Amino acid sequence: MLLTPCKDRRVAILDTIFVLDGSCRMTYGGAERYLILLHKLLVDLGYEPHVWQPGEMTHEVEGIRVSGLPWGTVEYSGIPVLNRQFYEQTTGYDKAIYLAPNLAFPFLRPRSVVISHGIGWDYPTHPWITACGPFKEEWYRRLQFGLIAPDLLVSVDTNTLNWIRALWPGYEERTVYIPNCVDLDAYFPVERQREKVVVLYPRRLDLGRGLDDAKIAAQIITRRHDFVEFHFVGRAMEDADEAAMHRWVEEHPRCRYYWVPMHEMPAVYREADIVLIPTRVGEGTSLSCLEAMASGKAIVCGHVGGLTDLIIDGLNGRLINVTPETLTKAIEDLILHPETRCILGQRALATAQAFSLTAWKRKWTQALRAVWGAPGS
Amino acid sequence: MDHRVALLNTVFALDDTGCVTCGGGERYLIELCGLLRELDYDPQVWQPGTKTHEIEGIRVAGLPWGGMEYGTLPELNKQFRERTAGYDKFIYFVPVLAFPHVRPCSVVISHSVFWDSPLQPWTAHGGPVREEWLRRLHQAVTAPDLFVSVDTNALNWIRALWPGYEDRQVYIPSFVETGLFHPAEQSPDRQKTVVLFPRRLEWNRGLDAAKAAALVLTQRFATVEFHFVGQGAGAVTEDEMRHWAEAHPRCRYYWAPMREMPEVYRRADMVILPTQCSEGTSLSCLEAMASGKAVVCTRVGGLTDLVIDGYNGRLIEATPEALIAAIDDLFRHPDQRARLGAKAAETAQCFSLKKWRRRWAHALSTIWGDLHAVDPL
Repeated sequence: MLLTPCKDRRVAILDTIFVLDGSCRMTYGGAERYLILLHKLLVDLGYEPHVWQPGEMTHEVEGIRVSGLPWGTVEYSGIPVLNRQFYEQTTGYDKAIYLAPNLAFPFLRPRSVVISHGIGWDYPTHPWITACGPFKEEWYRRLQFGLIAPDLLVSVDTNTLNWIRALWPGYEERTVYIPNCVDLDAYFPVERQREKVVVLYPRRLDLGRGLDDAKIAAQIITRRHDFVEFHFVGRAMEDADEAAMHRWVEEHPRCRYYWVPMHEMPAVYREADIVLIPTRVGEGTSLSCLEAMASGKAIVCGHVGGLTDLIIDGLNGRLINVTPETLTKAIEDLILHPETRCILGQRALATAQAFSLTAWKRKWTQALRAVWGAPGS
Repeated sequence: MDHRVALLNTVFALDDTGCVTCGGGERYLIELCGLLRELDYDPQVWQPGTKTHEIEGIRVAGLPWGGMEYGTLPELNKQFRERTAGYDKFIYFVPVLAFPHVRPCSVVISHSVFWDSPLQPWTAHGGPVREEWLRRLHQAVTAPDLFVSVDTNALNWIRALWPGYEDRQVYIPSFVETGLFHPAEQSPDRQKTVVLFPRRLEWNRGLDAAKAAALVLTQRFATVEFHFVGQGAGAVTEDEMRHWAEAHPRCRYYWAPMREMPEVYRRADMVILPTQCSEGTSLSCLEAMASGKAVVCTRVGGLTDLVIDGYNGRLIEATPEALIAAIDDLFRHPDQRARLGAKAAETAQCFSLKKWRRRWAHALSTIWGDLHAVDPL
């Protein structure tokens, strides 16, 4: 019997930094968690994914083989040398995934997929937003290429897709919206009653994530209500910023700062009464927001990026134009109205069911089938 | 205090008949003028034209309008500026009217990102023509003291192109009269399933996709009916639609005056809004939701502010295939239809006319400052 040769099952994936050279330590941000989920899905579907990243070493982490590539320098937010190295190293592969649009320039493998995790250039100090003339045009040209030249753009939010359509319409049929997901087995609510109210900020210590707004709200509200605690839970990019945050909470009663490994986060959410996602810029369908929703919490969000895909103001949380004033008022309303907290939390929990891992896998499987055909066919 | 508010609109009342064209924009204007009067203001409306009309208690004066340039109406804008010397409060009803002159204490309203069509002349252009169009759009959306957007899409789009204006922007979603649009007391006892397309007969509202779905699904299921309910751009379009419906079994075309629309929604089993582009927080979508119907929407513009896929409706890709699959699924699963419809009705309560009025009153108090401070919720 003649065997028909199987189609190539290998998938080349290009990421930025997934594993740190020298330590074999993974950085556990949202993008890394995304890669782990996607890798597992690809394996389950019968593919053989292989990941490349900037670096010199080869790693094997969580069953994922990661090879290093020379990466040159960053140009107009992209990494063209890394892109070219990836293109050359993966000669013979016929399926590729670029984990972010800035990796997908200037060379593209055939049947390639690019993932947008949200719009990240929507703030006044972004280096290319502030540029003008031919430099800015070149940045736009590369951004446009990275987003729409691949065969499929998977966006975690509708915001990116709506933005692209209003700037470069006509590419709708090669784009798909697959919102992020939440592990409903790990994140779930618990019932309890107590006197104090815990307000949780479960984010990176970052201006764009609304840290300053949350600190001002904490100062005002803890002075007004002695039964309220603020917990800031998350790392900063720099050790100095974490040290500064430690000093800040020491000076402010009932404000706490700590961070915990990922597997302890479900318990952190469960201990909270109100969760703040006071993002001002650069947000997709935030994992923190989804995790808070699955934990049945009343959430206060900025009406920014993909958060608007998750929260409808007054239905399953509060969606505000974040300023210290609006944030303080929204939190205080929830502190003073436990019944509203309860209703918003219940509806947030019900909403989270629509963002299950199962739904995410189904959507990804369908999207991949559209560009790659059935696995192994 | 001067109570007068000068409001510049495009065409509200037709010069030859004095009749109001009853689209979403006109309903918005009537409600806004009603609110302004209730807040003790005296709104006076200008529009392109030669006559003065009095409609629903609103005085509408005509102005010479010149021609359209780069999507703006500079002559109309100039005429408005001259006629309203002495006024100190202004509302530009759409961004294209707020160029080149923008008066102090002015508000501009965005009803959607309307430039996201491949056929939109300025989007299709490149080079200096496109730059000039963008320059004028930039001024119109950022020069007024307050930018009111009916959706978060316009705010997110602007921030990712021209960040830094967030503090003069506010999101006030569209409204629905939940007293008029509400679920039927008894579900229709019948064998057929009615799919309603309650839109203008336009391709950008998804007419072609809806017709394609009707063709496939009326053949697939003997108990499905498609109702196309809305006006066309002219008698020819409507005649064509009538002939098309007559040629296809269980497809009907008609339109009903606004006061009969609540009943039209109540008679439906599901409502489709397969918008291709240029959509805000659609009144039709809100009305369908308030009527407790399962809605199938595309992930375009402000629809993403109303519908969360799988929670209170279906949010799909803008293709006929996706539309057919979603309607097919809802047809086969009446329990899912009922569940999504119930959640939609609950969602609609967050977009009540009462809340819309409070949000507007609060927003106006922040720039005109002579109102009692109003809590937006």
